[in-house]
Amino acid sequence: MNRNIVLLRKVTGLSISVGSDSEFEPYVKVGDQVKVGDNLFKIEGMKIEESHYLPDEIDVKKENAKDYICRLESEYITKGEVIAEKFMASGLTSKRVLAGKDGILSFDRIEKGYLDIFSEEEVRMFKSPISGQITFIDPMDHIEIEPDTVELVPFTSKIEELQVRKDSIVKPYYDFVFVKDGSSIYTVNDLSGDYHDKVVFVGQYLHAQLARKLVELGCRAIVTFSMDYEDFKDFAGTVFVIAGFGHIQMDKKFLTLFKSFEGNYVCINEKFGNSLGIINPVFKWPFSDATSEYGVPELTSEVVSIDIASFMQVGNLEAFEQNGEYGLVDFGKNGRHLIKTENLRNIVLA
Amino acid sequence: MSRLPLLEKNAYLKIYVSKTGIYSHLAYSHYEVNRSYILKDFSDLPADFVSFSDTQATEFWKGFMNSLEKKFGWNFVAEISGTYMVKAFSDEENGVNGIQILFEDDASDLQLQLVGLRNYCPDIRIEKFVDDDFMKMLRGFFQKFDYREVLYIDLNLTGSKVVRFDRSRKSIGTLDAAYSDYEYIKMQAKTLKNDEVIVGIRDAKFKAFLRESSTNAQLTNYLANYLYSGTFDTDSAVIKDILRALGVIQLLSIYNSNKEKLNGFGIQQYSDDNAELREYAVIVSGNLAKLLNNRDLIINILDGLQIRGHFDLFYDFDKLLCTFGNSYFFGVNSQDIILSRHDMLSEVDRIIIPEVASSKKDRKVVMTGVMANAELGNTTLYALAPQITTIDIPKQKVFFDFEFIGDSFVKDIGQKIKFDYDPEKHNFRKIIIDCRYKPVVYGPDAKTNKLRMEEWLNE
Repeated sequence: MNRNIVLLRKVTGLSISVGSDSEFEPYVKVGDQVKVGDNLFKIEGMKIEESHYLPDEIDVKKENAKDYICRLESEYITKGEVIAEKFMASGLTSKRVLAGKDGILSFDRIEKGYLDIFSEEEVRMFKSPISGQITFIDPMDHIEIEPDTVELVPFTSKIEELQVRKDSIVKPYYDFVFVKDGSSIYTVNDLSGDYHDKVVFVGQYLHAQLARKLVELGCRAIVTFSMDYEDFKDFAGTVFVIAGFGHIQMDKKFLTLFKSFEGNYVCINEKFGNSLGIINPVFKWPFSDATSEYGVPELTSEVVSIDIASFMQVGNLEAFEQNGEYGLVDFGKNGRHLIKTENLRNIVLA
Repeated sequence: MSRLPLLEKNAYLKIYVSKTGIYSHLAYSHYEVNRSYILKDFSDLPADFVSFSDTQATEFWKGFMNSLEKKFGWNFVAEISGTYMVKAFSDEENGVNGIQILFEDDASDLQLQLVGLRNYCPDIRIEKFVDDDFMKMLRGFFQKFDYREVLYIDLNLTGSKVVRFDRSRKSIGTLDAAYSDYEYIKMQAKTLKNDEVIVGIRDAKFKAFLRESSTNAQLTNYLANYLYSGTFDTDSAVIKDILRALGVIQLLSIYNSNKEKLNGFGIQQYSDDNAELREYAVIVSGNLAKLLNNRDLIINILDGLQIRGHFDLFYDFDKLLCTFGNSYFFGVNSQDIILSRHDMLSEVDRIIIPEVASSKKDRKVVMTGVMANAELGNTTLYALAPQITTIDIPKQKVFFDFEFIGDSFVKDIGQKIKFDYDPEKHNFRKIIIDCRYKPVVYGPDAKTNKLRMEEWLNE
């Protein structure tokens, strides 16, 4: 039997964590359904408005920084007031630290050399970034939400270990953005906008130079329809190759599907293995209705060729020839071709 | 008198799971009306099959069996109150007398597969296909065909193995001896991952075996798409050439690491009467073997394993011997279904590899012979060096008489070979005589190889 190409697979059990570094009061309970923008929890407290590192500002050792503070702990200070001072040249000159904002002075981190100014107490409301069901609440730490999710199953992928990149943190999800409209092959000159910590769809083919530039710009991962095998092997970042290697023409149905995910949040984590998780997807499946992972192609059905000469081209199976060994497939403007039946697949949403 | 139960209408489904894919065989027999056949399917595995959890295994097998029923047009699993059971056999396309799934060693985490399959359909028999089962199957082969030694070649894209099975060394003449008394030698090439295969083709040693020229970038993209997509069939001449070269290199690597173990196969004579030439058999299987055309496959075996002398070549691309081998060999003593030779085995080729000293002449006759029978009369045969000659065997009783001339001869047999062919007893398709100069040389480039192979095959 032909093993169909599973392009999307429905997934359950993904949990997205929305957290806080301090205790909070939840507005939801386990089992609640939330939408984007719904209130999740509120935090009452103070935040750091301003922080001064005294060893840099007044040239003191951090272990002695406390000796140069000239105000009291938890004292309310206003903008412009002196909060720390070091005298030099027998007291004739001094270096001073002035408060840049109003607030309450904190000595919590003075042992490390930091003198902080906290804001007055405020209430912050955290809203849900995604839709889903609340599955877990820890009011000291975080809330977990299980969203509707599908995984985009690539032809192959390479996932970079994040700890090797110092300028990035592991995020539960990332924005999915496009280079231009994603319909073509793009170069470095086509880049515009902010790609930092985002997952970027680059269109039909990924050049090595474009890949390097996107990594330089801090993108989390690249999604491409195709790229050269040698470039894939040498690439040091994270890349999802949807169709295969070499220059592979992207049928517009693929683009329609990917465009429907633009602006969604996407996940890269071990739950998805080498696939890309797409959160709260809203799409209309553009291929046939086949859902099983194995099957034989049927007449008049839509098929994809994995024959090397017409790799990943989408067409209609018009007839079987030579006792079913070959299928006659109409690839539209790419013409009609005889393809070995064994090399015809359905694309499925499993 | 009632019939033997197994001679009644019967159907049985067996599935063999190897690292390279799933071979499904549904055998049907109804001997009263002389009707029997085997439905076959090969499906490749999902990339993450080896690491399936038991839940994933359950879902996988449910989907797979459903698809297989549609492919075969046969219902063999029934759902009753949410539980799946093997559907009892009633007639063609309806039910089977059993389902058995055999897992090759290392094909998957068997424990999790067991749990998954039990959760799906507890009726299905599940077994691990281990070396013991393999030996049992080959012993059955010996008993049926009376060969002294068998070489089983499993030629696969990412790793091949060769097993030499020799009953002559320990228990000569005792066909009923326990199979553990037979000598069994397993040889294996290193299993390669897809990326290792792709990178390997850039090696100059690999390129020396190619006969199609192509740029590196094109080659690696084509090959990567082929290997990653899991398909096994292609019309691409470039890909087929790469796979052919890969095959001969794998077998050569096995030969170079196991010369002593392979020594003597094909050339050591056991009986004084060699009229039958029934001492050596090679069974070739594997996805790479299936993909190559017949002449490339035979050249791969000869050049990779450096075989001389003679042997009969059996083809088992669908791994029928692994599923229904014992059912066939044990005949009426079979536990599940009785199968006939025409269901199980394709036609066989007889291969003769004489020693041919190299010569400055472009071509020279090294063998003359006659194919004779009452109806066809005498047909003169000859073989030229350095060529591979193919002689088609008619479906009639014929007698072959070959004589190798000059300094050409078949090791340990000499210059004369005679044997009968009887279609009632044998299932031969053709005789192939490899009169190339030995040792066979490849390289240094694709163009030279192409010209050389055209000369060998007289194209």
